[in-house]
Amino acid sequence: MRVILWVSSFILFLAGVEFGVRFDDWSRYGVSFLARETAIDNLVVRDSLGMHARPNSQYRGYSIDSLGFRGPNRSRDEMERALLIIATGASETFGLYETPGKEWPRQLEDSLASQCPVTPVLVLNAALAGMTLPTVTQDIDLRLSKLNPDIVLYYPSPVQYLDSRVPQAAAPFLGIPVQESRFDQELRVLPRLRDALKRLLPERALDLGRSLILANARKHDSHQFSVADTEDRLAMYERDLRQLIGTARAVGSEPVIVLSQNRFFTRDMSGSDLRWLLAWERFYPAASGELLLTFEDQASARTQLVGQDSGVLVVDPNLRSSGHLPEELFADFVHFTDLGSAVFAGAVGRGIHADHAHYCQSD
Amino acid sequence: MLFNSLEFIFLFLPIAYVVFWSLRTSSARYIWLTIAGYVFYGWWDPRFVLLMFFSTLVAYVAGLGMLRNPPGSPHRKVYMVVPIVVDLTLLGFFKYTNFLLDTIRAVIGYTGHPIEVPHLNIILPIGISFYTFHTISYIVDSYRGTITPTRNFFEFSTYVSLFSQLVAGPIVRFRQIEKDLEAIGSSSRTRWLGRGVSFFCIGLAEKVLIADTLAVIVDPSFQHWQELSSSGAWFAVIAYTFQLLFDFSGYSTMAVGLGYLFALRIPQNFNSPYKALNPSDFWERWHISLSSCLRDYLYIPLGGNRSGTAKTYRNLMITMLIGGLWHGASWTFVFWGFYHGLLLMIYRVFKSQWDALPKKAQQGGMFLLVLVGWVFFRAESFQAAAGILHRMFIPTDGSFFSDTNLSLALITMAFASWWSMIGPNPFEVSHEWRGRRQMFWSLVLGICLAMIIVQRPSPFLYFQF
Repeated sequence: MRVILWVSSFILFLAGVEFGVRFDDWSRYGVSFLARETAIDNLVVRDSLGMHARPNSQYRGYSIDSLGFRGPNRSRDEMERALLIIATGASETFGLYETPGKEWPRQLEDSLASQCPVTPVLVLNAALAGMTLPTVTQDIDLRLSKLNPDIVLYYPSPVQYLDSRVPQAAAPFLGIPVQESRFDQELRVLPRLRDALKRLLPERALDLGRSLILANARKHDSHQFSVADTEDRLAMYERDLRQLIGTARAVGSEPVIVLSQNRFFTRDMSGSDLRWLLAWERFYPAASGELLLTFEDQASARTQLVGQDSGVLVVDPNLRSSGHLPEELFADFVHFTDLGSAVFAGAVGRGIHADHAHYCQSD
Repeated sequence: MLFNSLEFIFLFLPIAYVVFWSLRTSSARYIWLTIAGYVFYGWWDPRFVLLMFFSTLVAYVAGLGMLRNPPGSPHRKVYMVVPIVVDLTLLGFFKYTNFLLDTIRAVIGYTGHPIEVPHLNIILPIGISFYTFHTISYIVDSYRGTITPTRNFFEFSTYVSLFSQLVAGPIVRFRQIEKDLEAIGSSSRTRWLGRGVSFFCIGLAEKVLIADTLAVIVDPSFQHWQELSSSGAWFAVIAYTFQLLFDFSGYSTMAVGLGYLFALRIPQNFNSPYKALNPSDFWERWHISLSSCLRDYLYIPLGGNRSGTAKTYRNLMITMLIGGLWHGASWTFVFWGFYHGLLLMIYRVFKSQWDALPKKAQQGGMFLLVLVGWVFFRAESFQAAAGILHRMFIPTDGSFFSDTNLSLALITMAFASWWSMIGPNPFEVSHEWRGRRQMFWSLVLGICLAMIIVQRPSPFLYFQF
């Protein structure tokens, strides 16, 4: 009897932990108790339109609208009346660390609205964490084109081209989608517990962990890029960027490219910057931290070249001239803070406004 | 380290508990609890460990001095006065230096001849008000002969550095815990285990589920008080009234639970203070350990109520002003003490009329009076306090501030008001750890842990004092 009591208590304790996490999701973000998403990856779906955000899904503060864009629902009518901009890219655009509603595409909308109150502007966020350039191009072709956006605004993550596998489009899924039951649930507490335990660890322990993971990854994949052998990857990036520009134009939209930014713009590698560079390297074990920075610079130069060639607006947000410290703008190596998003959106907004001033004219 | 943190619950507490009960002798257990207390305290800032050690050493030596100088001997008073002066000097330096300098600067500013008065960069050691009170009460009680000072340094250092009540009370007097400390080597692990876990769970629920939920309303509201509507101001102040109780009461209840886990009985610190019927009753229920210390070490030595009405009022006011100042180095705290001193005096004048009111009216009236006082306690300046009170009593347009959903805030406030004004307090419920109670509190503990996992643990409000 005593054993049954203790086992029941333990089960109730675990149930309490899971209930508590779901209660917190509900009270803070309005997430349903029965929502299935337990990680940001669950917000992705692959269907006949390729890979994109799953409509009406939500994980914590990351909520996806009925059309598969991050943010609140917008009506077709609103879209038709407004200058429609679709911002796309990877996690930097999707927004990982910003307060919900402060991702740069949302702040860009505010920025453009304040610069031009006479013309309604809508900025939809089509980005997804880990979305590659070819996948974005496919998304423009298969899905975004249906909305007839006036501008497709792309924020690249060139270092994806330093992955050991060349970035490719996630092929559309043409089979019959599996019906998912609401009661097919996973524990939501596990990823939270992992985050909480990570917070407990001192920075040095985290650095050690990252170094070990990196060393292990490099041991299993011995290929290491050097500055000399990245030319073919740069060429692939350039090719894919030109493809994106062509696709956007083919569907009747004006492409705009923004130069990628990272927290290392001062190049003054203090202790925390070195720590973040190591964290960044962990995602691209085939490249050293120094190469990541060099490649970003080279890719930016290539992006500007492509822009000149093809007559596409390339906006340089130039965060180093904002007067803010890297740690104020970036929550990690490339992802923005609320302030970083605001500064970035302001710079992009000014760039678009200067080049597309014609949109801001009352009829 | 916070009681409501993962490192405390899953690392510090299990290690402290297992090692403590694996040791067999009193001395070993004293030493272990002292080490645990210093690790717990040093987690915030290791530098201040030395300060606590110095304060402990001074009081311990004073106790030895009292043992060598029995009552009536000429040097006995020196062993009381010198260590108290040392303790109060440390407290005064760390807690009140900048308050004094700021006040001097303000006063000189009024004369029209401002001079440069510096603001020193002094960090307030956490819990200094509490452990200073512990050592002073030990010295005074030793002097009075209420207790026999201990010769065992580690027994005394266990008392001062006991992690369960080190940084935010209750202010446990040596005589309240002396017997348990002396029997620590032969105490039973299982005797108080159930009670300990039960008290800890209740305290954790008070803090995590109620106080922290209400904090989400309170903090932005008091920060942006200029933008509050009348209803928003009432909402914020009522929320703070419950947040403060459940935050501090939660800490004290956890402290009691932790005490039981180490076979030490820590006294009750809150006895449903919002059930109080009058100001006098309130101070017998709110922060009981502080109010009883102020009574025994300040009010009574000043003469108490034995020297006529005027002196009684004077003594009451001095006691409450110092009580206010103890809470924080700010004139708003002093005014809060003055306000409660005034309430106590007015109650003495109109006692018969007030007591003739229906009980519910007395309780409601007292709650309202306490609530007004909390505005001064929480506001960062007199301007803010006056602004909030203005909004509460003069209809004003503005907004509500709440980062949490409103229905959850309302449900929490309704539950908090029931629990604090009608329901039983943690000392009035059964703590038997079996059957349905065990299952219920296991579930609550799980929910509390989930809240700690998903939200970073928030510090206890009383840590600042």
